[in-house]
Amino acid sequence: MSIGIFDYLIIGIYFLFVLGIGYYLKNSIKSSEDYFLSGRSISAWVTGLAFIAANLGALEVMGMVANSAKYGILTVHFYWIGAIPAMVFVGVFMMPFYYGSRARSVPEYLKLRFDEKTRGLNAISFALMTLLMSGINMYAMGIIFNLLLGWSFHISIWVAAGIVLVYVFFGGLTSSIYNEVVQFFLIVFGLFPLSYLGLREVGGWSQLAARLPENLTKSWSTLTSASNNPMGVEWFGMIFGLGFVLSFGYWCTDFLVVQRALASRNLNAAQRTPLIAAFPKMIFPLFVVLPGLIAIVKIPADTLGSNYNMALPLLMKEYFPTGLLGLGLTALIASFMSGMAGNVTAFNTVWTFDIYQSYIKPGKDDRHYVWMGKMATVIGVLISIGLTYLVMYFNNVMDYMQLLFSFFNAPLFATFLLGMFWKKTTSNGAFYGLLGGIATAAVHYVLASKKIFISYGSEMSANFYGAVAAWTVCFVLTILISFFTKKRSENELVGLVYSLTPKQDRSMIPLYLKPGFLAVIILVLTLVLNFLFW
Amino acid sequence: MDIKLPLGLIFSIIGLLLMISGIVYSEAVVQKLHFNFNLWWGIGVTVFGLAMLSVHWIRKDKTR
Repeated sequence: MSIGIFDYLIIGIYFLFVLGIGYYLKNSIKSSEDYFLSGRSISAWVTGLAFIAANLGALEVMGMVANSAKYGILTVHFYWIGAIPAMVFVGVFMMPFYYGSRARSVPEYLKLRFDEKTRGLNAISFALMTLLMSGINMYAMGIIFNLLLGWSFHISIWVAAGIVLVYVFFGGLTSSIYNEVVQFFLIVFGLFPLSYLGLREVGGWSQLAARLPENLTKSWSTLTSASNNPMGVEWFGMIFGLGFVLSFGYWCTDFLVVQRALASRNLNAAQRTPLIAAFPKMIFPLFVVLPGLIAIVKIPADTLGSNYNMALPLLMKEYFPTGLLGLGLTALIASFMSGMAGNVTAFNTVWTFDIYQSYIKPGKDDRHYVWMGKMATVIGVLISIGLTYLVMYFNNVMDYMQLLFSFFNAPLFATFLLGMFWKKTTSNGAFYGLLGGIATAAVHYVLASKKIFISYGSEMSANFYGAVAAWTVCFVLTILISFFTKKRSENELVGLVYSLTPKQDRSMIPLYLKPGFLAVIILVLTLVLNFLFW
Repeated sequence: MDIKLPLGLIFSIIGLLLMISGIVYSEAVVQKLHFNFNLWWGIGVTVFGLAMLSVHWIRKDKTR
């Protein structure tokens, strides 16, 4: 594919702005709270869009288009079941403890609520996982631009990583958040034309649906049994595996997204962050699922089937004339870069607060930790690049590591749920319950992949049920152990546990700014969407 | 820094570039998509950019 002068100009303007924002913000960094948490000063709509954009790495965008080209409209479940309810929950019920406890990170909340070992387990696994994600993200970028435009793999990743390094290094979290908001609008302006032009050519939704098999265009009616739909999942696995365990585990406990809410200027804004993010999340299938369906009709089956991840770039090639192509490519580049920046800012914070300050050098002055954060940014970017090359030479290393980390994530939500809402949860209960859950996920994986005792219709179904098993074991084990181990005194837990935290007075907040009110609107709209595409 | 400033600037410029590309490559765009999408989308993106800039400047005057 050839790209012209206007395409390069648009990409160049974007690079210029990204660097400019980072450079401009460098004078606003005065303390570690400025660097890692934007001084807790950002308004809710900005953190809300950043919350959603931090999740919209290019892997997510291209991956969901690929998913849709493969599994059809079932992909909407990753949004309407697999994200919205959890986003509402974290905003309404969990944010008062994350933000209200003044914890600076998710692992730090675990330290406040439980103890050092639970924090350590979470901090170290999260730090490694987030760098791995960043490396995989880079790898995908190098491959795509090489295949699509013939750009050098090495130059693509070093240039992109270099730019991310510069703007995170100088501007910290604020710089990352601002660039995520720019990326959000780039994705909207860069992907909407694809849906519009595609649908226009095919002749509207009804024409598109008519050209596809029914199990690719109906989201719930094919979930009665695993054999009716291409995903090989039925409603129980979908609702409890994806909709409950995996989704709540990600949206409610992953520091990458929670960090954006912690940057808000007050508790109400922090609570509204995921709720504001839920509105764009709700309509995002329009930008990813719809192009996936169009790809099935437009791109020859053998080309598409050989690499679903190319569905989005191939569609851009098909529909976008020069100029518009530049905007589409910029949207992709932006989501690659902010996907990486999101991971790097989460890494530098967890590293500095939860590992360095806790275990390596406690008690230094604040400036020292800002310096450490900047060093962690440099090292984080370098490790990401290293992992990119590791993935390039040993493709399956990535699969194993991703698998390993999925074991850590699945049971975590049980730990948080009990920790926040049951004051009798003990520190040892939480830690050993979590270990039990992790072990369950690992054992389940081995059994399911070797088909010993258990087997599923698809790998996706096995993942969903593995998550349910891990969550359940963690939940039950934590409760059991809590009965027999020493509880913390109640006054230590004020602000950390639901029943021991005074309710906020919300009488002064206008209705449309109340988290509960927004939550109801979001849930009703989501329900309507589910029925429309039943 | 108010985020509406960089948002306004970047999308005004990108929108303008899209519009110009629609005019310069008018024939190729129309041939591919049957109408000058670049021009119209460019106008849309520019309007968004200018709207962000105006809100930024109006707010700024008020807080002074």
